[in-house]
Amino acid sequence: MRETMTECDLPGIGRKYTFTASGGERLAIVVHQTGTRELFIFPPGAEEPCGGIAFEDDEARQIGAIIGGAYYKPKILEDLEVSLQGIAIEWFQIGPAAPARGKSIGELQIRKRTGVSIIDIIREGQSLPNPGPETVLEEGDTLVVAAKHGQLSAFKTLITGRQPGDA
Amino acid sequence: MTPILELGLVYAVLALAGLLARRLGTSAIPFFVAAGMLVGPHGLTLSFLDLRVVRDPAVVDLLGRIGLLLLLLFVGLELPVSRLLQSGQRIVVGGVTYVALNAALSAAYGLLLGWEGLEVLALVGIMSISSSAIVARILIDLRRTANPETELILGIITIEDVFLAVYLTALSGILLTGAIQPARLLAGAALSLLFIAGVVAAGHAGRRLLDRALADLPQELFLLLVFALVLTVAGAGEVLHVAEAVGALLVGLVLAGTAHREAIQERLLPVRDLTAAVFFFAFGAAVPPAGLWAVALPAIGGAAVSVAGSFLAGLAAGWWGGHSFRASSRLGMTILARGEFSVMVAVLARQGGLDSRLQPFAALYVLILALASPSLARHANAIADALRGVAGRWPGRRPPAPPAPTTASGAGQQAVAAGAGRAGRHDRTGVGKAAMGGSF
Repeated sequence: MRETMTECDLPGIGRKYTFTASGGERLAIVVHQTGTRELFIFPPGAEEPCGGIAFEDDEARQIGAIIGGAYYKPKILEDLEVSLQGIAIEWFQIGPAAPARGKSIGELQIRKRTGVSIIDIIREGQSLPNPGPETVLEEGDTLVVAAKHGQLSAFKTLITGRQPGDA
Repeated sequence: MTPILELGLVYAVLALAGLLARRLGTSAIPFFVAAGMLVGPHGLTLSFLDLRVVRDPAVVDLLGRIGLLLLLLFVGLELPVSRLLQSGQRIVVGGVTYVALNAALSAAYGLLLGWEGLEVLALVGIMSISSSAIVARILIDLRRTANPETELILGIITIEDVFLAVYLTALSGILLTGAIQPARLLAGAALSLLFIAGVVAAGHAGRRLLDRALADLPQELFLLLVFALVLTVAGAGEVLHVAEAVGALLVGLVLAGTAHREAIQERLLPVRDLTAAVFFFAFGAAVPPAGLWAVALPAIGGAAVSVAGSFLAGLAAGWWGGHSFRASSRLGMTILARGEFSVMVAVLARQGGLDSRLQPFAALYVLILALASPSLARHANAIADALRGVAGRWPGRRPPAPPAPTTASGAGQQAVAAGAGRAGRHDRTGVGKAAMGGSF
């Protein structure tokens, strides 16, 4: 296995992870103690980064999800996941402003409208597996869902009331 | 004016000073000090304009003293003894080189100014310890956190913090026990050493007890208990001629060994920020402006000595670490920042009754460097390029072998390793791939 990642402490600042891509470019990710993630790109052999960009916590999580393939998977990766039949497992938390708060799964017509199945709800550390349509979603619930490619964005809009791409 | 109104105005002035520093993109510490000079009891008075907000410094003094104790509590809490033990050879060499070279240069400068003995010792402290806070700020502002020299910079800062702890303890022992008669000095030093050893031993033995006492406490009780511990130990130390600052540092070291280190930092941080600003203000308020003119030239000279010393030491440390000329230049110009520790040493010197020129000197010196160091750090590459023609070829050095990976701060990294899945090596000291080759 090629050595691709190193990590080190930056006392008083945070932690740094450095990845070397197969082309020789390096990506350094600095996770600040404040939660900010900073990304730096080093061209092959360069000592100083040629560019950097800083993300707040929620932005960084969204980018992480995109890189992880939760939003969109290129065809080549979908073929690799044939055994899973393209089903992705994701989780969402019900925020204080979520329109889905206080409504039941049946009322929201989640499966009918989005095709997504809620396979588990984590409420106050307890798991409620296979919740029925009468289950009412509460603030702070974490929904574990199974979705096919393309279904997640509709589901997210339904649950959080925000269009995909909103900050 | 009522004390509350006085304090309210002090905080208003501090907020303004902080805002100004932010606008200028520099550290707030020297601006807090300058605010103290401007509106303190020795402050600015023109014929119709009287800026003196604080007539009776008792209120700010007490709050400022608490600020100093909390600053040192945090130094103790953050003192990375375990990290120091596993830090690589290049960090130890770099840090020792940096402190030794700057201490030697500032001692020589002090002697040149005609100071002697203890004053020179205090000057060494004022001029050779970088400000961890400002250095971290500069690295973040200039977006250099991922640069190859940054790990070395932060490592050197770590070594300097350890030096600070030892230095403060030694200086307070010498100053506050009355250094004139050797017999009394010895007895006093023995007593203060006994106190220090006592606190450390009690802390070590009582770690479990502290762990249990602080566990599951509500916020209010937790704060009360920690605060009581800091103030009583610091105060008791003072009775035995151990500077209260050292007492607070020791409490920090003891509490760092408990399971509540991070909770203490998190919960006391707002209190520290609220009182530390007043500490810098009170320091400025106690400096008579007449003294400023007398030390203007020495302070400018001192700042110049530190720029040169820091640059040279940075080159040496960078070269040893296998960095390029540019990276070494950035290193020296970044560690140049001076701030809270210089002020602390100056305050200790006042408590010990040393030459009263040391405080205005420290105030001006810190102000000059605080204004100059961020832009010197920013333009370090240009400085390196300009000097390259003069200096000739940079003798590149292969970086020393990375130290063997250690298993110090455990679980989090393991989780990351597991999460990263296929990621290969985990080089905790970060020396391996991140360090670039020698010549540029």
